[in-house]
Order: sequence, then C-alpha cells, then structure tokens
Amino acid sequence: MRLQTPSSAPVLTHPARSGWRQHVGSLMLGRWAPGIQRLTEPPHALPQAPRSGWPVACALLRSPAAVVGLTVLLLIGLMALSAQFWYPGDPLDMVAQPLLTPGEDWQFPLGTDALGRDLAAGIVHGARVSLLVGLTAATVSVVLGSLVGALAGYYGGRADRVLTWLIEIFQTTPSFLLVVVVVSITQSTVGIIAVVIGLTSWDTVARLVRAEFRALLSADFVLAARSVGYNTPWIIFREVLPNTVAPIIITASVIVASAILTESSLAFLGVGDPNTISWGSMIGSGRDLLRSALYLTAIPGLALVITVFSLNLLGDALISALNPRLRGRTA
Amino acid sequence: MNAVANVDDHRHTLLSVSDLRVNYGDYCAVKGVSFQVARGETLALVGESGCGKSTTAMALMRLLSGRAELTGTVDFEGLDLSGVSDAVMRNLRGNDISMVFQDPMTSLNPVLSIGEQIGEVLRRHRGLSRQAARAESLALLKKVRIPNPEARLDDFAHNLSGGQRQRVMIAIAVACKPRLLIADEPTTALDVTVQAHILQLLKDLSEEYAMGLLLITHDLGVVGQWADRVAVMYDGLIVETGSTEAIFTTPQHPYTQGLLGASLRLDSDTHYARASLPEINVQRGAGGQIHFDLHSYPRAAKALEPDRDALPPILDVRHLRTEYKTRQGPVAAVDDVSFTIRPGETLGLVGESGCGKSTLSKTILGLIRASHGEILLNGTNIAALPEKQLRAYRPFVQMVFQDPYGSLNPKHSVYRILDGVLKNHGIKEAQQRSQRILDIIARVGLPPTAVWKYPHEFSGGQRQRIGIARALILRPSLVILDEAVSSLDVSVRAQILNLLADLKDEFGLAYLFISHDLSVVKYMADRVLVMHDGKIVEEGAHDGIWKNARHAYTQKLIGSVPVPRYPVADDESVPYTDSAWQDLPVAMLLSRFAI
Repeated sequence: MRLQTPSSAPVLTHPARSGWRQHVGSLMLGRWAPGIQRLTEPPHALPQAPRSGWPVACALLRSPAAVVGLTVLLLIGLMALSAQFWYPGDPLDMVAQPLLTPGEDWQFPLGTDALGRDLAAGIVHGARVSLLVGLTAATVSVVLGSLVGALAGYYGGRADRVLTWLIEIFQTTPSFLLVVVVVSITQSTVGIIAVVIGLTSWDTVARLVRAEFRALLSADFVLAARSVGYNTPWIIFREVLPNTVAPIIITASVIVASAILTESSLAFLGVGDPNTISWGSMIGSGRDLLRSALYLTAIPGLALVITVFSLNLLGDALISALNPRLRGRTA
Repeated sequence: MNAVANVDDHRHTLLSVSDLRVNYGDYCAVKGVSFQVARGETLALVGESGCGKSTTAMALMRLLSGRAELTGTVDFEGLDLSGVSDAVMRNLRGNDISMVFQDPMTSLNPVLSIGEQIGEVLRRHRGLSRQAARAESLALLKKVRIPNPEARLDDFAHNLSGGQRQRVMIAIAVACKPRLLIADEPTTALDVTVQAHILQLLKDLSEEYAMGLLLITHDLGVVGQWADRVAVMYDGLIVETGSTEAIFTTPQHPYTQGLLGASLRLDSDTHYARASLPEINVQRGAGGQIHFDLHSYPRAAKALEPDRDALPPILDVRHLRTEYKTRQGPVAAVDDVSFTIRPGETLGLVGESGCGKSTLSKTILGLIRASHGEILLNGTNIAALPEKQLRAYRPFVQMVFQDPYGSLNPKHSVYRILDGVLKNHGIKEAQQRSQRILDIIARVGLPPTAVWKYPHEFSGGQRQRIGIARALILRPSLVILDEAVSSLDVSVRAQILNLLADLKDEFGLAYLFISHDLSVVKYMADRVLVMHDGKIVEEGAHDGIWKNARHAYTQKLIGSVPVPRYPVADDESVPYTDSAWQDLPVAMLLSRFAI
C-alpha cells in the first residue's frame, strides 16, 4: 500500500506547438486532494472585507490634517469657479479710488491697488489662473518625471545612461530662461505657460523615482514578481511605482508652489498672459509699493501660502493613507 | 558583602542582576529578569526574537533610548549600575564592560583605519600615546588571530571580510581587558566555518582574562557547545535557568523543551519522512497567564518509493555556468554545475555565503541568464528560451524567498498579491480565482480573513506562509526554497518545516532546498549537494553524507557546525513507527490514497 503517483512521466509540451494550459492538469504532480493535515476546509465564498472598498479615501477622511487641507482647497477651487458670480466683469477694471487700505471702505474689503482695481476681485479671479497653472504643471511634471525615472531605473544600463543624461540637461539648463524662451516663441496663454512650466520641472521627480526604482528592484518582491512571470509594465506600474508615491507627492506639492511663482515671474517680466490676473501677477505689481502699501503683496502672498500649506497637509495625509502600514494608525 | 555568592565553589559573582524591568511607556519589554554571571563564566541568554534578550543587554550597558524606564538593581562587583551617574557609566563602558554587536558590516566606522579605531579606545581609556596605542593595537590584532596583522592596521573596514571585522570588534572590546563582555548575537551574520573560530576566540579570551561572558543568542547549538550556564527567555521573562547540561538533558519548562525539540541538531537522525518537529503552542489566559503546550503529530509519511529513481527527472541541470561581468572580466558565480531532481524528491543544497547558491536558484528561475549549459525542465531546455516563451514554463518552477519582510509587496493586500499571479496566468474567471486563493490560504494554515490584510499585519512566520501560498497557487511541480526558513525563529521554523513537509506530500512537490544551515538540510533533504566556489563539490544521500564526507570542504563544514556537548533528549521527537499509522482514523487514511 503506497501513495499513488503518476505512473507515466509528466510530459511538457512545447507551448508554441500546443496550448500549454490544456496540459496543466496532466502535468501537475500535485493536486488539490484533501490531505491528512488539512485542518480547515476552505470556505466557498470570500470573507467580507473588513472595511469599505475605499480604504484610502476612508483613511484620508479620518485624518484631521487631510480634512482641513481638502476643505480649504475645495473652498479655493469653488471660489475660483464661481468668480464671475461674486465679481462679475473684468477684475482688471478700475473701480474705485486707488490705494484704499483693507477695511477702509467696506465695499472693497481687501482694498484697492495703485490703479484703483479691487483686490478682492483680483484674489477671487486670480485663483483660477494660479490653481490651473500650479496643478497642470505638477501633473505634467509628475507624469513625465515618473515615466522617465521608472524607465531609467527599471532598465538600467544604456537606457539609464541616456535618460540620466536627458535629466541632467534639464537640471543644468536654467529652467526659467527655458520657459521664457518657449513662451516668447509660442503664444503666451495660461494653458501653454502651465504645460511649459511642467515640462521644465520634471527632472526632480525623475531623479527621485529613478533612485527609488534602483533600490526597490533588488527587493525580493520584485524578484518574486518576475519569477511568477509578470510582464514589465505590470512590474513597473503595479508593483514598484506604488512604493515610490511618498517622494512623488512631496515633490509635487513643491512643484505646485514653484509653478505659481514662476508664472508670477513671467507676468512680472511681461511675457505672461497680459489679459488675465493671477496671484503671481498681483504680487509682482505690488512690488513697487512694498514699503508704502505692504498689503498689496501680502494679501495675494497669503492666499498663495494658504493654498500651498493646504496642499502639503493633504499630501502628507495622502502619503500615510496610501501606505497600508500607516493607514491603520491615523485615528 | 555580595561580591561573593555561592554560584560555584570558588567563583566570584561578577554581575548580579535582580528584577530588572524595562518599560517603554505602557509597553513592558523586560518584565523582571534576574541572573548572575561569575568571573570566567559564559552565561548564554537564549530566546527568540522579541523576547527581550537584547534589550536586557542594552539595559545593562545603559544604552537604551531616553524613553526607556529602568527599574531593578544591576550589581557589578559591588557597584550598583542603576544608580551611577552617566559619567561613571561612560568610564565603565569599554573599560570594565564591553560589548560586541551582531552586524560586523556596520559596527566599524568606514572612514577610519582599523589601527585608528582600536587605538582610539586605548588612548581614551588607558591614556596611551599614539605610538604606544599603535603597538598595542598590533598586539591585540595578533591576539584575535587576524592573519597578517601588520598590514591590517592601516586597512579600512571594507578591506576586511565579515569574520575579520568581527575579530576587530572583539579586539576593540577586549582592548582594556574588561571584566565582563556582552556578545549580542556575535556570529549570527557569519558563515558557519567562521562562527566556530569566533566562538573559540571568545572562549579563549574569557578564560585568559577571567572575563565573564554574557552570550546572547537564538542558536541552541552554539549554546550547547559553548555556554556554562543558560538562561532561557520568553516574553520579557526568564522561564528557566540552569547549567547547560541540565537545560539540555533535563529541561523543566515546556518552552525550553519545545525550543530544544524544535531546534535541529546535526548529530540527531530526525528526518522529515519519519517525524514532524514538535511545535510550541502559546496561549494567553485571561489574567495574562501564559500557557505553553507542546504538541507534535506523527507524520504518516509515504514510504520511499522504490521506483522514484526510475522516473525521469523533473529538472535536469547540465554543465550550467552563470557569469557576472566585473572590471577584471567575467567571473563565474555558478561554474559547471550539473544535477537532477526527480519528482517528489527534496534535494538539499548547502553552501556558505558567496558560494553561488542564490545565483544558481535565480538562474533556474530565469531571473539571470545562464552563459552556458542547459536547464531541462521535463526534457525542455528552458535556459535558452526568450522571456515570452519562458512565461509558459514559469508556473512549473516557483520560489519561496528568504526574507519574509522583503518578499511581499507592502502596498498590496494578500488577496491582490495572489490574485495578480492567477490573472497573469490567464485565469479570467474571478470566481475561480477567489476559490483558488481561499483554497491555498487555508492550506498554508491561515484564516480566510487573512486575504484582506496587508503584509505588515503578519508575523514573520505568517508572511512566510503567504510566500509559500504565492509559490504554490500556480500548482508547480518544483519549488525552490532559497534559505526559506533561515530568518525565522526556531519555533516558527519548526512550524514552517512541518508545513513544507505536509505540502510536499499533499501536492507531490519536489523541492530544491537551499540553506547554509546543515542541520536543517539534514532534516529536510532526501539527497544533498554541497556547493563551494560555484562548483558542486560533493553529492550524497541525506543519511550517508554526514558520516562519509569525502571532500575536504564538506568535512570542514560538518566539523564547524556547533553541536551541543550533551546528547539528544529522549522525548525530542515522535519517531515514525507503524503504530503512527494505526492511530489515524480510517477515513483519513482513505482520503490519503483517494487522489
């Protein structure tokens, strides 16, 4: 009496000649038979998932920092979208006496600038351009930078050398000058400015992602993925990339802030979009009167700080929420 | 008064610890530990990871972070260390009490030369001049038996091997002739042949300087060979203390018994086909009481099949060579290796770090390309197949990795980890995938709710079960176990080895069991290969090779394995007997054959 084993030798047919999956059944020496040590019969349905299907969103909403950041950003976004409702007409119109300080005339709660334009209208309308530029630039640079960094880090060798060389070119070129040149050649609309700023700031993201990939590629779970036969896009995007989100998010929130400021510098140099108002252009135009009317720069500056700060709050909470280890801890 | 205690006839108590407790806020890491170390004596503090043995050592040295609260008394030759000032303690450290750490790779400063690092201690504690310190450093390097010590003085850490670095660490530790040396897992990161030399050196130094040695380790083989007395720790408490002989021959506490039973010895004849390893069950009562329960089950192992040798091999490796490119040209990590694995067989592969065993397993898996030779998987040469075609063969050979922490993607739930594997191999129906996931999860001994958890929510042993599930879900015929139990604690290792033996029977798997640990290979393997410098130097049956090793390297390897001086306890394992069959219910026996 002995354990029955297949009497004939298992034959592996070449997959090119016949469907290999048909042969799996006959090939397997092991089979799903109940054994002596089987203690628990597997249930026939999956157990209920412990939390809802949106663990990241739930974790995010449990974190006070994320709620504050998200609320402020939503308010700013709503304000930008409904700018025409609050302040119909062009915010660049002269509407009152110049240089009213905030609170002097309650019709213009944030005061007016040297040309008699309403500061409050400028903040509300300017949010549109600033948010658009910041978020677009960050998206472009994160997508491009992650892709280049991931490819360089994953493939290594010659591909890595070429891509690293590309990254270094962008790092050593003064990116602001590059933006000025590109914007001068093309039209200076807000959309183009945003994309061009994104195209010149992806190198930081790429470098970070590349370094993370180099380190993670030797991890056993990547080797395991390869030995199971995952294809390259799967390994890059589903296995490794989710493990690099922390540096990506941190860089992205920095890029949002610097993109808003770059746009303001463009406006200051006169290569920005002359027909729109942005927080950056308001800061720029207030510069001349910095000593006599500080509020002209301070108010749009404060709006910028609040936005970036909320982004950072949201970003930090997002990093924790995306990390299963930290997700449970945020109470 | 208390400098002399009745530990032994004429021995002086050097260190006397009583009721030492370490709290981190609410968490209690050490819960009242008492022990003594006499001059010239080696006390082994044994326990599994997280039992508080390292915390105890750090507490003695007062090296714990500021958050830790210490209570209890530590009496060092009449001086209560718990009351002395930081300045006095700094002076004691290195002078009277020294420490050797586990990882020799990081415990030396990479930018200072070896001579400077030893000399620093001598100048600081003994006030020697630069010249005198250099001469003394040289004497110390000779004392720790480093080859060519004159040249080593001006070398840096990266020029030295792991064993040499540990010797330098010991030289630094004994530079001031301390009266107590604390060695925290001093050989865990080292190869077995190096380990024997380092432990011999520690023993010799301890005798020469009449130095107390507090040896902290998880390895019972080391304890049994080198320690005079043993204190067994579990969960922040010492559960049993005694002479090494008493602990090994008549262990009283069930935890000690379980630990001894679960740890494998090269001089015992336990084999997976005949006996399972005893497993320790720990249950916590309502009042924080811990109940230990030792259980082992007979393995109704299938009789060795006479015709196994007649079956064609599942894997036939012929003249395999894998090269790495270096600046000096290609270097062969695997050099002309040939072997076969037959269906249902466990082939053990032993070798020290750097011998090419991991490169070999990666080459078989197609993660690294062979530069020469054939890998015949059921007669098909997969060594030369392009990646696209190789994918079709991947389900047949799977691997369980060493590191249970690094081998699972921390961002994915268990379900997603296993589901991805099935998806990638063309199982489109979600219902079918989830059924297979539940099957395999139950089979590796995890509850169904485990599928929604993430890797960090599991212990090391549980993660290794998930790793095994991932390897088995594609129903392979060959599983490569590359140091799969090496980073596990002894009791967890016993559970995983039992599981692997069961799964092998149930699924008719063949294993390539790679390990540096000879005693584990002796237990698990049917046939053994010994690898050295990229070559297979010896091959033999699991019962014969240990006694009749022909190759000098194999003999050296076997001679280096620490073996306790005391014989195997009687009740260590449940041997396979015919009665084991009779004890099983008939239904179970029937199910066994109804495959």
